[in-house]
Amino acid sequence: MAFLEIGGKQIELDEDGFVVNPDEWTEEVAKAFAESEGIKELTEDHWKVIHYLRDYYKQFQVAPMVRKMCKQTGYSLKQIYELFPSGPAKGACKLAGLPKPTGCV
Amino acid sequence: MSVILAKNLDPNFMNEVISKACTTSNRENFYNCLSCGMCSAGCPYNGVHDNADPRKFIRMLTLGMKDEVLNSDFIWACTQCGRCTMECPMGVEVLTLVRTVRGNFGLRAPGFLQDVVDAQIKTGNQMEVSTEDYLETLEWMEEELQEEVGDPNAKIPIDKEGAEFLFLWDPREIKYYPHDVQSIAKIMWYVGADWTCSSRWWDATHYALFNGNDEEARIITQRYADEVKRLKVKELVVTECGHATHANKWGPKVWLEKDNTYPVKSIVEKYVEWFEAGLLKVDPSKNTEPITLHDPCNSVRKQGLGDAMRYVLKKTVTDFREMHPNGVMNYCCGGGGGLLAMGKDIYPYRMAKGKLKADQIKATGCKLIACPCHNCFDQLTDIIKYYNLEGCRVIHLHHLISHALIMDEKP
Repeated sequence: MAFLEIGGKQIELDEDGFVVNPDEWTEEVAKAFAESEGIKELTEDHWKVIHYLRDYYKQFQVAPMVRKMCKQTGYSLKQIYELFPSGPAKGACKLAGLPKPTGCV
Repeated sequence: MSVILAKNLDPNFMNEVISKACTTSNRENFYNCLSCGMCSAGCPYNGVHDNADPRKFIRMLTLGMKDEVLNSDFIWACTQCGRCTMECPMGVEVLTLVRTVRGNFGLRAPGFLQDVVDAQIKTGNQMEVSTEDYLETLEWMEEELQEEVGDPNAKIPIDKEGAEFLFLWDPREIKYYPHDVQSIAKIMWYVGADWTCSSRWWDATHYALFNGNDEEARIITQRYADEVKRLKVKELVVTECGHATHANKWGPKVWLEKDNTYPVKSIVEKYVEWFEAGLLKVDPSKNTEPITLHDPCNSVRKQGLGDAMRYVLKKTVTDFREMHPNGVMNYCCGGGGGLLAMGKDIYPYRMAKGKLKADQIKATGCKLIACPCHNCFDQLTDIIKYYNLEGCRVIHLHHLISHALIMDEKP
């Protein structure tokens, strides 16, 4: 089992490096993931998407459609890809500490 | 060395498996194993990781070692890529036997494979996308497309009765990769395709191909047979997805008893038709980066689409380089057979298999890998990370095409 160590605390990751338990997520986790997902620095724009994803997940226990993500954060699809080069699923959701989506992803 | 206990053997086991197998071949051949070992020589993973020896599996079946077979790692670690089966001189369909064992003896698939099938049966698609969200995404991409091409008549038609073909999506295109929707719709618009999407059953994927449950497979397949009828279309066309292509082409013949002869095509076959008809005009100089092709097992080895993929690439890019081996001889990406949905227990097998593909990619010198399959796409993305193939990216054929369309020459 892989772990991410932050401030002396171990956070369990799944085989693809996603956080297993979304409750263990902190902003430090997003910062730790950023580099490997091709993000130099987390800006206000990143945080807006990350917090939106976390709130949505808290409410529905599932990641939102990209359609919803764009509509409700106000970013275009192109901007989402600029912010998260690995894309909405493998990039944005991972940084937000959502578990890896099941299904053909 | 383990001991075979004669009193535990079930002499009827092989019969039971063969009689339950869904196949379009002559099942009597499945008894004909000569234990020559061509299957084990053909399996690229035999020797790459443990529990990858098809001949042992067939031997255990033949001897009636039911408990050992049902509890073996082999049946889940096998990606059903069919390379062993292709090599068998006696027509023993190893991949079919693996599938039959998986789904007919009360076993639960590892990881979340069963959850994916349950979701599709229950909600109509494996990602549980609501109809409202699905339609909204299509509408959104239609608007984006209209803006991109400057034509208010660029449409994504829904439930258009009498269209030439019904197009099925992969739910990940709808949920996570909507720019795939836009790219495909752009090609449809360019060639003036008479197509429609379904509002009811639209998920091309078919994980019951992997869990081996034929009852579930039947339910899923019947939906598309019904949609072909309801919408009065001539053909069913499946997005760039290997297993979905195979399941929708092969499935009706084995799972449905009537009205199972409707034509099913991969969109890759449509690209070829459109090129040949002069409807698809692309400028290959838009795609000059060296590119290789990963042959998805389900659409190439099982459905013979390797030539079609190469035809498309040669029209669309300037520097196509084969990996070796390729075509029907190609190695599986390592994520097929449902392995991508089998979680952490199967993950080490999946990554071990991926080493072969990583080495193949490296040897081409290409950083770009064309892959007309969503399942392989994810496995390739995973192994690019795992094996540090720096700068490598995977791309669908439709992105290469839609990006290189000659807009002034639209028919």
